[in-house]
Amino acid sequence: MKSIKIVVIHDNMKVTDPLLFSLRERFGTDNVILKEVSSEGLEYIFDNLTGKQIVLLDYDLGADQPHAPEIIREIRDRTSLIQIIIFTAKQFSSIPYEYLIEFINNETFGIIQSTADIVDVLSLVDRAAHQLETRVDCVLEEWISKRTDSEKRKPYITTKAGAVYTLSDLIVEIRKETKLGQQVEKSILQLATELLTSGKKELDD
Amino acid sequence: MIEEKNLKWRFDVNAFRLFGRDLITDRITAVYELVKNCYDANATSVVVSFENVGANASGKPNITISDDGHGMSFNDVRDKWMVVGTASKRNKLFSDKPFNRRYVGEKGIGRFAVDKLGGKLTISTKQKGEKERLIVKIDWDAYEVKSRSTQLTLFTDIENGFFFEEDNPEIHGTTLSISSIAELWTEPDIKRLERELEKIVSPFYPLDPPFNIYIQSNEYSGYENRQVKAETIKYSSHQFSINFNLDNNIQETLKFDNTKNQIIKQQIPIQIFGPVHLELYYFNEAAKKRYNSAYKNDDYRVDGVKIYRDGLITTPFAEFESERDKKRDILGIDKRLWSGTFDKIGTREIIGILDITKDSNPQIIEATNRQDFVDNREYRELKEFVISQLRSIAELKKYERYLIKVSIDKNLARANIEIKEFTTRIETLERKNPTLEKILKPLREQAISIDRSIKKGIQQQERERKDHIRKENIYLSLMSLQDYAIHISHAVRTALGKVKRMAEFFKERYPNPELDTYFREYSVGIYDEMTNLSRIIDFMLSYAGSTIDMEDFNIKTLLVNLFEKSYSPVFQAESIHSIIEIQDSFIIHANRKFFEDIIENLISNSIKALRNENNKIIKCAGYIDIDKFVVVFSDNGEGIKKENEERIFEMYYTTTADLGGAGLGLYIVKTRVESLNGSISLIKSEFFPKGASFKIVFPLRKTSHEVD
Repeated sequence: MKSIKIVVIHDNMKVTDPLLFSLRERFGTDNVILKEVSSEGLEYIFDNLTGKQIVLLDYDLGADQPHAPEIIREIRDRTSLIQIIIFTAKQFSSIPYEYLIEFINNETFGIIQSTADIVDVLSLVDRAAHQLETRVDCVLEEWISKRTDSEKRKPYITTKAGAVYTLSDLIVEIRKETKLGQQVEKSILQLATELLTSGKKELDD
Repeated sequence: MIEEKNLKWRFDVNAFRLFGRDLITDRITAVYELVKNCYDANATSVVVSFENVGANASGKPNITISDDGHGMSFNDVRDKWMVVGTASKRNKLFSDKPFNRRYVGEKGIGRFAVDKLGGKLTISTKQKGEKERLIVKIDWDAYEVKSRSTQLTLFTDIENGFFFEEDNPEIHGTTLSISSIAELWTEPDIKRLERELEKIVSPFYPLDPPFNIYIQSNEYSGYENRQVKAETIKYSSHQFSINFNLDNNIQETLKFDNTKNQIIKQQIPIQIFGPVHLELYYFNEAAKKRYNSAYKNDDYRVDGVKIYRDGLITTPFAEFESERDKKRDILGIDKRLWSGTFDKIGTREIIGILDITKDSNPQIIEATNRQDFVDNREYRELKEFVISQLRSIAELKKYERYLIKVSIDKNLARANIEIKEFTTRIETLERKNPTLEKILKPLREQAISIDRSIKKGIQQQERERKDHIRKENIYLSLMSLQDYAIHISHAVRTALGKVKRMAEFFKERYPNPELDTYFREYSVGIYDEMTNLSRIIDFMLSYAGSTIDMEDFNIKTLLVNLFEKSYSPVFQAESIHSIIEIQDSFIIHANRKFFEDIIENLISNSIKALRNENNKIIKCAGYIDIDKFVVVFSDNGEGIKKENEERIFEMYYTTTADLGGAGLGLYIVKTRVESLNGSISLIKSEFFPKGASFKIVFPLRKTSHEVD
């Protein structure tokens, strides 16, 4: 299984911060990335779209740099498969409602104050990691990303309307949660349930 | 002979529900979308007709939308009308000549709006030159049944009947006839529709060929064949027309001229959002009164700035909202911080028509949720542009209020003088004619009594004005405190978070020889952060005892204390190198809190400007220059852009809204400096080419005296 990257975007945190220490302990030293400049953080995320990522995001990120709402919007324009947790000293009540609504609608995994216990932050990150490993779309994406390039380019499914999709196309549909992407996920879940209930075939994983 | 065949839609059932039911949120928008489709079809005339839609109707209810556009062929219906998000509209930007209309129904969702209106639809369409008219019958309820089924189908198999009918080859156009009407349409509903349709076409962007909209109703009077026309805007007190010149790269913008006391036009380069034409109508209090008496308080028209692209309205997409306060204010005119205070202009005082085009303003993009524009730099700057026009009008409003005050003062003063003259004359008359004393005495006494009342009135007014200024000062002081509190609480929480994590590390892991270097580092870290916190809190508490009274204080001691004690934790936290050089020491009698406010706001301003600077410097120098005390306050931050220089002292003007900047800091500085009889100006930066320098000059009055 490919390891999960924890991308921490925070303009006021030292590399020696105890939170990062604990995250490294849990997810591996190389898998915890601190970006103090948010645009660089975003760049890193987009360069690593094929891997699993959890983003720990501060709210205000300095002049001329995208803040949390913008970053989340940009990430969600590209993929729904990254987990985002907002980690901030900002009082929740001073975050405009529109943004809070947007956070929920853009499936932000969680929001936690930077004064919270490290264990609480870790448990939130753990839950996000667990979802990344078990969500159908994430599993599918991981499975597709493991195929060879030629496999990815081959036509994989044809819709009733006659549109042909390769695995590479499908991954985009799934990331963007299009109708087709959702349909594929649904069908797989149905298949899995059927296999489990019919008992005709043993699941090998 | 008429032969009926079947035609299938080509879209997902879910897409149908999404587009039809969820995207179009109300009936008025639905009609609006259908009218937009007529525009795209090169219609010159659209008739929206309501039959038997009211509560007391006896016949079958029906809504018909009929245009004289180009009509649709069978292929059009099959390949475009029945497919969602057809790309055809996007491949071609313009409709056919002579119309050359920009397509506006970009999403291809207008046709689903029909579902919002009624359950059954008949499309009757015909192209010019064709001998037959195509008629398609659609039953939306069937789709509803289909979409509720759990069966997994990506595309529908619903069939729609269609047939052809002979017709005159010269006739062209499309008629949508909707029955099984979902809801009642009352007379006010239709009036509301008319009001929204009025806004579709910009009154300042003439359409040629025209696009006329008519409303008909067999139930409500006045709607026999009523043309929808934007009413000319009446009763406004001021009108401003802001234009541009593409060839010379000129964009006009409004500015309040303090010397002429009127709004003038300035020329700036065309901004990144592209050239814009803006018509603004401002209603001052008197105009608002005239307006309200004319329209019987039905002030729906005075509702802020609307954006038209290529002559057609963009967003908000005519979605009707009856409650004023819930109306979408997409430009954020009313949402500005400290809304409603003092002299700000709100959406209920202006009508604005902002014309943009797809060619010249391509980066102003309607958001897919159809509620707003895509939030990009261009759009943010466009919003700022509009708001800056309103700020200029706000200056005018302030000036007009001042004029009213002055004229009242003058009248009172004149009355006072006249009464005095009157009394003197009576006295003279009395002296000359002692016999008249009996008659004149009561008159004289009455005049004296009137004189007393006027004097009292003048005093009362003066007291109230002072009280008002005092309240305004307290209010502004509170605002700066609130701004400061937000700043401090964030700093405290950040520091607390760090301390807590380091302490937690100890709690969970101590002892562990392998982590000794961490333990050592964190213990120092905890100590430093705690020291910082304690200083921040001490400073915060110092606010608790402050008043706004006048007192004697040494200005050098005050400034040095502020820099070296009060603000040193802030400077330390922000890694700012601070320099304070005050040459002369002397005592002044003034408001100490005001002085502190000036410095506090300048520092907080500099901190924002220094955010991206590695080697941060804040410098404050002070010296006596003959009969003035001069303070020069500088930083080496990002500086102030040339085009912003004139506006930085204006209230609510901010370039750091994203950092919580409310546009108050420099305004407070300026008002505080002025209340101490001083002046402030932006001078060439001491750290040129970086940074900014402010020069503050206080006149030294005789009451202040130098000490060693």
